[in-house]
Amino acid sequence: MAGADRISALPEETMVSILSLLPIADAVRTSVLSHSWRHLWTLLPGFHADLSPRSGPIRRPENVDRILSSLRGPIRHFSLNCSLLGSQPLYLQHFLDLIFQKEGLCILSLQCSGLLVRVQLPYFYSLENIDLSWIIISLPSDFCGFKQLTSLKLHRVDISQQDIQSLIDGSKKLTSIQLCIRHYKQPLSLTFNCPLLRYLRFNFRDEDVQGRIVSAPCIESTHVTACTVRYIPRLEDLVSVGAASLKFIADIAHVSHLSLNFCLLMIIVEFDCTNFLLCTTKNAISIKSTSF
Amino acid sequence: MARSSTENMITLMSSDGEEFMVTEKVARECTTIRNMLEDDCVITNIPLPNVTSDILSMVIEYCMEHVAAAEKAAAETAEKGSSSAPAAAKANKDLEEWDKAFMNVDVYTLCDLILAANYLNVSGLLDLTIQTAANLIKGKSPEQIRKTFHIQNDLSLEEEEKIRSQTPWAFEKSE
Repeated sequence: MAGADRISALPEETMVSILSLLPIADAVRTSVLSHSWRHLWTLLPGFHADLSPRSGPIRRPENVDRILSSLRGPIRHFSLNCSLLGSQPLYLQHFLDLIFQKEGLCILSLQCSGLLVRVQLPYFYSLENIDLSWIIISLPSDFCGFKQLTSLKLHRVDISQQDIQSLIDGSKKLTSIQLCIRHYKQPLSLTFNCPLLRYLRFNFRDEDVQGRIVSAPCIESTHVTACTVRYIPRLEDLVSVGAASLKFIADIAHVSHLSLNFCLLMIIVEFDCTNFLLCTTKNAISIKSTSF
Repeated sequence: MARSSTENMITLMSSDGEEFMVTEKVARECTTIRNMLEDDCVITNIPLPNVTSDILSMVIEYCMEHVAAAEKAAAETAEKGSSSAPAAAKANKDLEEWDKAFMNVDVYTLCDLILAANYLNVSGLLDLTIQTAANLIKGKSPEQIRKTFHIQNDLSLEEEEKIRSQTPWAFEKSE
Protein backbone atom coordinates (compact mmCIF):
# COMPACT_ATOMS: atom_id res chain seq x y z
CA MET A 1 0.00 0.00 0.00
CA ALA A 2 1.96 2.98 -1.26
CA GLY A 3 1.77 6.24 0.68
CA ALA A 4 0.43 4.70 3.88
CA ASP A 5 1.86 5.68 7.26
CA ARG A 6 2.78 2.33 8.79
CA ILE A 7 5.20 3.44 11.49
CA SER A 8 2.59 5.53 13.35
CA ALA A 9 0.39 2.42 13.52
CA LEU A 10 2.98 0.39 15.45
CA PRO A 11 2.18 -0.46 19.09
CA GLU A 12 3.00 2.42 21.41
CA GLU A 13 5.67 0.52 23.36
CA THR A 14 7.44 -0.40 20.10
CA MET A 15 7.50 3.23 19.02
CA VAL A 16 8.91 4.20 22.41
CA SER A 17 11.61 1.52 21.98
CA ILE A 18 12.58 3.17 18.69
CA LEU A 19 12.75 6.61 20.35
CA SER A 20 14.83 5.24 23.22
CA LEU A 21 17.59 4.37 20.70
CA LEU A 22 17.87 8.03 19.68
CA PRO A 23 19.72 10.94 21.30
CA ILE A 24 17.17 12.83 23.41
CA ALA A 25 17.07 15.83 21.01
CA ASP A 26 16.08 13.57 18.10
CA ALA A 27 13.40 11.93 20.24
CA VAL A 28 11.96 15.29 21.34
CA ARG A 29 11.97 16.51 17.72
CA THR A 30 9.50 13.78 16.73
CA SER A 31 6.84 15.64 18.76
CA VAL A 32 6.00 17.81 15.72
CA LEU A 33 5.56 14.94 13.24
CA SER A 34 1.83 14.53 13.89
CA HIS A 35 -0.75 14.23 16.68
CA SER A 36 0.07 10.59 17.33
CA TRP A 37 3.75 11.47 17.87
CA ARG A 38 3.01 14.57 19.94
CA HIS A 39 3.53 13.09 23.41
CA LEU A 40 5.25 9.84 22.53
CA TRP A 41 8.71 10.89 23.76
CA THR A 42 7.32 11.70 27.21
CA LEU A 43 6.94 7.93 27.71
CA LEU A 44 10.72 7.43 27.47
CA PRO A 45 12.15 5.53 30.47
CA GLY A 46 15.16 7.84 30.80
CA PHE A 47 17.80 9.72 28.85
CA HIS A 48 21.36 10.93 28.60
CA ALA A 49 22.06 14.66 28.76
CA ASP A 50 25.35 16.29 27.92
CA LEU A 51 25.82 19.77 29.36
CA SER A 52 29.51 20.15 28.65
CA PRO A 53 30.40 23.14 26.48
CA ARG A 54 29.93 22.71 22.71
CA SER A 55 28.56 19.21 23.24
CA GLY A 56 25.06 19.04 21.97
CA PRO A 57 21.79 20.85 21.61
CA ILE A 58 20.65 20.63 25.27
CA ARG A 59 23.35 22.94 26.66
CA ARG A 60 21.38 24.57 29.47
CA PRO A 61 20.25 22.90 32.71
CA GLU A 62 16.79 24.48 32.24
CA ASN A 63 16.34 22.18 29.24
CA VAL A 64 17.18 19.08 31.30
CA ASP A 65 14.70 20.32 33.89
CA ARG A 66 12.06 20.64 31.18
CA ILE A 67 12.69 17.11 29.86
CA LEU A 68 12.57 15.62 33.36
CA SER A 69 9.34 17.46 34.16
CA SER A 70 7.76 16.32 30.88
CA LEU A 71 8.61 12.63 31.25
CA ARG A 72 5.66 10.80 32.70
CA GLY A 73 7.85 8.30 34.53
CA PRO A 74 8.90 5.99 35.97
CA ILE A 75 12.39 7.19 35.09
CA ARG A 76 14.60 4.10 34.96
CA HIS A 77 17.89 5.60 33.84
CA PHE A 78 19.45 9.02 33.99
CA SER A 79 22.90 9.96 32.83
CA LEU A 80 24.39 13.45 32.94
CA ASN A 81 27.67 14.82 31.68
CA CYS A 82 28.38 18.29 32.92
CA SER A 83 30.96 20.84 33.79
CA LEU A 84 28.67 23.10 35.75
CA LEU A 85 29.50 26.71 36.32
CA GLY A 86 28.34 29.55 38.54
CA SER A 87 25.00 28.98 40.22
CA GLN A 88 24.14 25.97 38.09
CA PRO A 89 25.34 23.28 40.55
CA LEU A 90 22.05 23.85 42.36
CA TYR A 91 20.30 22.20 39.44
CA LEU A 92 21.88 18.84 40.08
CA GLN A 93 20.09 18.39 43.42
CA HIS A 94 16.88 19.58 41.77
CA PHE A 95 17.26 16.97 38.99
CA LEU A 96 17.77 14.17 41.50
CA ASP A 97 14.74 15.26 43.53
CA LEU A 98 12.60 15.36 40.38
CA ILE A 99 13.72 11.85 39.39
CA PHE A 100 13.03 10.64 42.91
CA GLN A 101 9.43 11.90 42.64
CA LYS A 102 8.93 9.88 39.43
CA GLU A 103 10.27 6.70 41.09
CA GLY A 104 11.84 3.63 39.52
CA LEU A 105 15.45 4.78 38.99
CA CYS A 106 17.75 1.79 38.27
CA ILE A 107 20.79 3.38 36.63
CA LEU A 108 22.36 6.69 37.69
CA SER A 109 25.43 8.17 36.05
CA LEU A 110 26.73 11.67 36.91
CA GLN A 111 30.02 12.82 35.43
CA CYS A 112 30.80 16.30 36.71
CA SER A 113 34.29 17.17 35.59
CA GLY A 114 35.97 20.39 36.64
CA LEU A 115 33.98 21.37 39.67
CA LEU A 116 33.00 19.47 42.79
CA VAL A 117 29.25 19.70 43.22
CA ARG A 118 27.58 18.83 46.51
CA VAL A 119 24.41 16.73 46.37
CA GLN A 120 22.40 14.55 48.69
CA LEU A 121 21.49 11.29 47.03
CA PRO A 122 17.75 10.64 47.53
CA TYR A 123 16.70 7.17 48.69
CA PHE A 124 16.36 5.56 45.24
CA TYR A 125 14.97 2.21 46.37
CA SER A 126 15.34 0.39 43.04
CA LEU A 127 18.83 1.64 42.18
CA GLU A 128 21.00 -1.08 40.59
CA ASN A 129 23.92 0.81 39.16
CA ILE A 130 25.70 3.97 40.38
CA ASP A 131 28.49 5.65 38.44
CA LEU A 132 29.56 9.05 39.82
CA SER A 133 32.60 11.20 39.26
CA TRP A 134 33.85 14.52 40.63
CA ILE A 135 31.05 15.05 43.07
CA ILE A 136 30.51 15.48 46.82
CA ILE A 137 27.73 13.20 47.98
CA SER A 138 25.89 12.56 51.21
CA LEU A 139 23.19 9.99 51.93
CA PRO A 140 19.78 10.39 53.61
CA SER A 141 19.84 10.23 57.43
CA ASP A 142 17.73 7.05 57.53
CA PHE A 143 19.87 5.34 54.88
CA CYS A 144 20.43 1.62 55.25
CA GLY A 145 21.63 0.51 51.81
CA PHE A 146 20.35 0.29 48.26
CA LYS A 147 18.88 -3.21 48.35
CA GLN A 148 19.07 -3.76 44.57
CA LEU A 149 22.49 -2.19 43.98
CA THR A 150 24.91 -4.46 42.11
CA SER A 151 27.49 -2.01 40.76
CA LEU A 152 29.06 0.92 42.60
CA LYS A 153 31.58 3.15 40.88
CA LEU A 154 32.82 6.30 42.58
CA HIS A 155 35.59 8.23 40.86
CA ARG A 156 37.08 11.23 42.68
CA VAL A 157 34.03 11.34 44.88
CA ASP A 158 34.06 13.04 48.27
CA ILE A 159 31.95 11.11 50.78
CA SER A 160 32.07 10.75 54.56
CA GLN A 161 33.44 7.61 56.19
CA GLN A 162 30.04 6.84 57.70
CA ASP A 163 28.20 7.22 54.38
CA ILE A 164 30.54 5.14 52.26
CA GLN A 165 30.66 2.43 54.91
CA SER A 166 26.86 2.24 55.21
CA LEU A 167 26.61 2.20 51.40
CA ILE A 168 28.92 -0.83 51.24
CA ASP A 169 27.41 -2.56 54.28
CA GLY A 170 23.77 -2.00 53.38
CA SER A 171 23.94 -2.95 49.70
CA LYS A 172 24.27 -6.71 49.98
CA LYS A 173 23.78 -7.45 46.27
CA LEU A 174 26.95 -5.60 45.24
CA THR A 175 29.02 -7.60 42.75
CA SER A 176 31.32 -4.82 41.60
CA ILE A 177 32.89 -1.95 43.57
CA GLN A 178 35.25 0.62 42.09
CA LEU A 179 36.39 3.31 44.48
CA CYS A 180 38.62 6.29 44.06
CA ILE A 181 37.58 8.49 46.95
CA ARG A 182 38.71 11.95 47.91
CA HIS A 183 38.82 12.39 51.61
CA TYR A 184 41.10 15.14 52.72
CA LYS A 185 39.73 15.90 56.13
CA GLN A 186 40.47 12.72 58.04
CA PRO A 187 41.88 9.25 57.53
CA LEU A 188 39.45 6.83 55.94
CA SER A 189 39.20 3.21 56.96
CA LEU A 190 36.83 0.91 55.10
CA THR A 191 35.82 -2.69 55.64
CA PHE A 192 34.29 -4.86 52.94
CA ASN A 193 31.76 -7.43 54.05
CA CYS A 194 30.10 -8.26 50.75
CA PRO A 195 28.61 -11.73 50.20
CA LEU A 196 28.29 -11.41 46.39
CA LEU A 197 31.26 -9.18 45.58
CA ARG A 198 33.29 -10.43 42.60
CA TYR A 199 35.26 -7.40 41.53
CA LEU A 200 36.95 -4.79 43.69
CA ARG A 201 39.05 -1.91 42.43
CA PHE A 202 40.46 0.34 45.09
CA ASN A 203 42.54 3.38 44.31
CA PHE A 204 44.59 5.19 46.91
CA ARG A 205 45.65 8.67 46.06
CA ASP A 206 47.22 11.14 48.41
CA GLU A 207 44.79 10.37 51.20
CA ASP A 208 45.35 8.17 54.20
CA VAL A 209 43.01 5.36 53.22
CA GLN A 210 42.80 1.82 54.54
CA GLY A 211 40.74 -0.99 53.17
CA ARG A 212 40.16 -4.37 54.76
CA ILE A 213 38.24 -7.28 53.28
CA VAL A 214 36.35 -8.90 56.17
CA SER A 215 34.36 -11.28 54.03
CA ALA A 216 33.94 -11.53 50.28
CA PRO A 217 33.62 -15.24 49.45
CA CYS A 218 32.83 -14.67 45.75
CA ILE A 219 35.69 -12.29 45.01
CA GLU A 220 37.61 -13.04 41.80
CA SER A 221 39.57 -9.97 41.06
CA THR A 222 41.06 -7.16 43.11
CA HIS A 223 42.97 -4.22 41.77
CA VAL A 224 44.81 -2.07 44.25
CA THR A 225 46.37 1.13 43.01
CA ALA A 226 48.36 3.63 45.01
CA CYS A 227 50.06 6.63 43.57
CA THR A 228 51.41 8.31 46.65
CA VAL A 229 54.91 9.13 45.54
CA ARG A 230 53.94 12.01 43.31
CA TYR A 231 51.78 13.62 45.92
CA ILE A 232 53.59 13.12 49.21
CA PRO A 233 57.27 13.93 49.13
CA ARG A 234 57.80 13.55 52.88
CA LEU A 235 59.07 10.13 53.82
CA GLU A 236 57.05 9.66 57.02
CA ASP A 237 53.81 10.15 55.06
CA LEU A 238 54.97 7.65 52.53
CA VAL A 239 55.56 5.13 55.30
CA SER A 240 52.04 5.50 56.65
CA VAL A 241 50.37 5.20 53.25
CA GLY A 242 52.64 2.33 52.32
CA ALA A 243 51.66 0.55 55.49
CA ALA A 244 47.99 1.14 54.78
CA SER A 245 48.40 -0.35 51.32
CA LEU A 246 50.20 -3.36 52.71
CA LYS A 247 47.54 -3.90 55.35
CA PHE A 248 45.00 -3.98 52.53
CA ILE A 249 47.01 -6.58 50.67
CA ALA A 250 47.37 -8.72 53.79
CA ASP A 251 43.62 -9.23 53.85
CA ILE A 252 43.20 -10.54 50.34
CA ALA A 253 44.99 -13.85 50.68
CA HIS A 254 42.21 -15.73 48.87
CA VAL A 255 42.17 -13.50 45.79
CA SER A 256 43.07 -15.30 42.57
CA HIS A 257 43.84 -12.32 40.32
CA LEU A 258 45.69 -9.40 41.80
CA SER A 259 46.76 -6.33 39.93
CA LEU A 260 49.11 -3.83 41.54
CA ASN A 261 50.45 -0.72 39.99
CA PHE A 262 54.03 0.34 39.85
CA CYS A 263 54.12 2.90 42.67
CA LEU A 264 52.68 0.44 45.16
CA LEU A 265 55.28 -2.14 44.21
CA MET A 266 57.96 0.47 44.72
CA ILE A 267 56.75 1.04 48.25
CA ILE A 268 56.82 -2.68 48.90
CA VAL A 269 60.32 -3.07 47.54
CA GLU A 270 61.51 -0.04 49.41
CA PHE A 271 60.43 -1.48 52.74
CA ASP A 272 61.60 -4.97 51.87
CA CYS A 273 58.16 -6.49 51.96
CA THR A 274 58.34 -8.62 48.81
CA ASN A 275 58.33 -11.86 50.81
CA PHE A 276 55.35 -10.58 52.73
CA LEU A 277 53.47 -9.97 49.47
CA LEU A 278 54.28 -13.44 48.15
CA CYS A 279 53.07 -15.29 51.21
CA THR A 280 49.99 -13.05 51.42
CA THR A 281 48.79 -13.91 47.93
CA LYS A 282 49.51 -17.62 47.95
CA ASN A 283 46.23 -18.41 46.17
CA ALA A 284 46.92 -16.02 43.35
CA ILE A 285 46.76 -17.40 39.81
CA SER A 286 47.98 -14.17 38.30
CA ILE A 287 49.73 -11.15 39.72
CA LYS A 288 50.03 -8.26 37.35
CA SER A 289 52.06 -5.16 37.96
CA THR A 290 51.56 -2.07 35.87
CA SER A 291 53.55 1.09 35.62
CA PHE A 292 52.11 4.46 34.74
CA MET B 1 21.14 -27.29 3.79
CA ALA B 2 21.18 -30.95 4.84
CA ARG B 3 19.00 -31.80 7.82
CA SER B 4 18.78 -35.09 9.65
CA SER B 5 15.48 -36.82 8.98
CA THR B 6 14.86 -37.29 12.70
CA GLU B 7 14.52 -33.55 13.23
CA ASN B 8 10.96 -32.45 13.94
CA MET B 9 9.38 -30.34 11.24
CA ILE B 10 6.80 -27.68 12.04
CA THR B 11 4.37 -26.14 9.60
CA LEU B 12 3.76 -22.41 9.96
CA MET B 13 0.73 -21.02 8.19
CA SER B 14 0.60 -17.34 7.19
CA SER B 15 -2.51 -15.15 7.28
CA ASP B 16 -3.02 -15.68 3.53
CA GLY B 17 -2.94 -19.46 3.89
CA GLU B 18 0.58 -20.23 2.69
CA GLU B 19 2.39 -23.06 4.51
CA PHE B 20 6.05 -23.01 5.49
CA MET B 21 7.83 -26.18 6.63
CA VAL B 22 10.65 -25.40 9.04
CA THR B 23 12.74 -27.40 11.49
CA GLU B 24 11.69 -27.16 15.12
CA LYS B 25 15.03 -25.50 15.87
CA VAL B 26 14.31 -22.66 13.46
CA ALA B 27 10.73 -22.29 14.72
CA ARG B 28 12.02 -22.07 18.29
CA GLU B 29 13.86 -18.85 17.43
CA CYS B 30 10.42 -17.28 17.76
CA THR B 31 9.75 -17.15 21.50
CA THR B 32 6.00 -17.07 20.87
CA ILE B 33 6.21 -20.39 18.97
CA ARG B 34 8.68 -21.85 21.48
CA ASN B 35 6.16 -21.20 24.25
CA MET B 36 3.41 -22.88 22.19
CA LEU B 37 5.64 -25.94 21.62
CA GLU B 38 6.50 -26.14 25.30
CA ASP B 39 2.84 -25.95 26.29
CA ASP B 40 1.82 -28.60 23.75
CA CYS B 41 4.68 -30.75 22.46
CA VAL B 42 2.68 -32.64 19.77
CA ILE B 43 1.66 -29.51 17.91
CA THR B 44 3.03 -29.52 14.32
CA ASN B 45 0.82 -27.01 12.56
CA ILE B 46 0.77 -23.41 13.75
CA PRO B 47 -1.49 -20.79 12.17
CA LEU B 48 -0.09 -17.25 12.34
CA PRO B 49 -3.07 -15.03 11.47
CA ASN B 50 -1.11 -11.79 12.04
CA VAL B 51 1.72 -12.44 9.58
CA THR B 52 1.48 -12.37 5.78
CA SER B 53 3.39 -14.91 3.66
CA ASP B 54 5.98 -12.47 2.30
CA ILE B 55 6.84 -11.21 5.81
CA LEU B 56 6.78 -14.72 7.30
CA SER B 57 9.21 -15.97 4.66
CA MET B 58 11.57 -13.13 5.61
CA VAL B 59 11.30 -13.91 9.34
CA ILE B 60 12.07 -17.57 8.57
CA GLU B 61 15.01 -16.55 6.40
CA TYR B 62 16.38 -14.49 9.30
CA CYS B 63 15.89 -17.31 11.83
CA MET B 64 17.51 -19.91 9.50
CA GLU B 65 20.55 -17.73 8.94
CA HIS B 66 21.03 -17.13 12.66
CA VAL B 67 20.50 -20.78 13.60
CA ALA B 68 23.00 -21.83 10.91
CA ALA B 69 25.56 -19.30 12.19
CA ALA B 70 25.15 -20.53 15.78
CA GLU B 71 25.47 -24.17 14.67
CA LYS B 72 28.58 -23.41 12.67
CA ALA B 73 30.18 -21.66 15.66
CA ALA B 74 29.28 -24.57 17.94
CA ALA B 75 30.70 -27.12 15.46
CA GLU B 76 33.97 -25.19 15.20
CA THR B 77 34.26 -25.00 18.96
CA ALA B 78 33.66 -28.75 19.27
CA GLU B 79 36.21 -29.52 16.53
CA LYS B 80 39.05 -27.44 17.89
CA GLY B 81 38.24 -27.88 21.54
CA SER B 82 38.03 -24.15 21.96
CA SER B 83 36.82 -21.35 19.76
CA SER B 84 39.50 -19.26 18.13
CA ALA B 85 38.90 -15.60 18.73
CA PRO B 86 39.73 -14.32 15.21
CA ALA B 87 37.44 -16.91 13.58
CA ALA B 88 34.60 -16.03 15.96
CA ALA B 89 35.11 -12.32 15.29
CA LYS B 90 34.99 -12.96 11.54
CA ALA B 91 31.83 -15.05 11.85
CA ASN B 92 30.22 -12.25 13.88
CA LYS B 93 31.22 -9.71 11.29
CA ASP B 94 29.82 -11.89 8.48
CA LEU B 95 26.53 -12.21 10.33
CA GLU B 96 26.44 -8.44 10.89
CA GLU B 97 27.01 -7.90 7.18
CA TRP B 98 24.20 -10.33 6.44
CA ASP B 99 21.89 -8.47 8.84
CA LYS B 100 22.78 -5.18 7.20
CA ALA B 101 21.99 -6.52 3.73
CA PHE B 102 18.79 -8.09 5.09
CA MET B 103 17.68 -4.63 6.29
CA ASN B 104 17.89 -3.20 2.79
CA VAL B 105 14.08 -3.00 2.55
CA ASP B 106 11.47 -0.27 2.05
CA VAL B 107 9.86 1.32 5.12
CA TYR B 108 6.59 -0.64 4.72
CA THR B 109 8.40 -3.95 4.83
CA LEU B 110 10.48 -2.64 7.73
CA CYS B 111 7.36 -1.71 9.74
CA ASP B 112 5.73 -5.08 8.93
CA LEU B 113 8.90 -6.85 10.05
CA ILE B 114 8.86 -4.87 13.33
CA LEU B 115 5.25 -5.94 13.90
CA ALA B 116 6.02 -9.59 13.06
CA ALA B 117 9.19 -9.67 15.18
CA ASN B 118 7.19 -8.15 18.03
CA TYR B 119 4.30 -10.62 17.66
CA LEU B 120 6.51 -13.70 17.19
CA ASN B 121 8.95 -12.37 19.80
CA VAL B 122 12.18 -12.80 17.82
CA SER B 123 14.37 -10.57 19.98
CA GLY B 124 17.35 -10.39 17.59
CA LEU B 125 15.14 -9.38 14.66
CA LEU B 126 13.20 -6.89 16.79
CA ASP B 127 16.44 -5.22 17.94
CA LEU B 128 17.71 -5.13 14.35
CA THR B 129 14.53 -3.65 12.89
CA ILE B 130 13.91 -0.99 15.53
CA GLN B 131 17.57 0.07 15.31
CA THR B 132 17.12 0.40 11.54
CA ALA B 133 14.00 2.51 12.07
CA ALA B 134 15.86 4.67 14.63
CA ASN B 135 18.70 5.21 12.14
CA LEU B 136 16.17 6.56 9.63
CA ILE B 137 15.04 9.16 12.20
CA LYS B 138 18.39 10.12 13.73
CA GLY B 139 19.72 13.53 12.70
CA LYS B 140 16.80 14.18 10.33
CA SER B 141 14.48 17.18 10.26
CA PRO B 142 10.76 16.55 10.95
CA GLU B 143 10.04 17.18 7.27
CA GLN B 144 12.55 14.52 6.19
CA ILE B 145 11.14 12.00 8.69
CA ARG B 146 7.58 12.62 7.52
CA LYS B 147 8.68 12.06 3.93
CA THR B 148 10.60 8.85 4.75
CA PHE B 149 7.72 7.26 6.65
CA HIS B 150 4.82 8.92 4.76
CA ILE B 151 3.56 10.53 7.97
CA GLN B 152 0.66 12.91 7.39
CA ASN B 153 1.14 16.10 9.40
CA ASP B 154 -2.26 16.63 11.04
CA LEU B 155 -1.06 19.46 13.30
CA SER B 156 -2.12 23.01 12.49
CA LEU B 157 0.61 25.59 11.95
CA GLU B 158 -0.22 27.16 15.32
CA GLU B 159 -0.01 23.80 17.09
CA GLU B 160 3.32 23.01 15.49
CA GLU B 161 4.71 26.44 16.41
CA LYS B 162 3.55 25.95 19.99
CA ILE B 163 5.28 22.56 20.28
CA ARG B 164 8.48 23.93 18.79
CA SER B 165 8.50 26.88 21.18
CA GLN B 166 8.31 24.50 24.16
CA THR B 167 11.60 22.79 23.24
CA PRO B 168 13.36 25.19 20.86
CA TRP B 169 16.77 23.65 21.56
CA ALA B 170 15.69 20.36 19.95
CA PHE B 171 15.01 22.08 16.63
CA GLU B 172 18.05 24.31 16.34
CA LYS B 173 20.31 21.95 14.45
CA SER B 174 17.89 20.31 12.06
CA GLU B 175 16.36 23.43 10.55
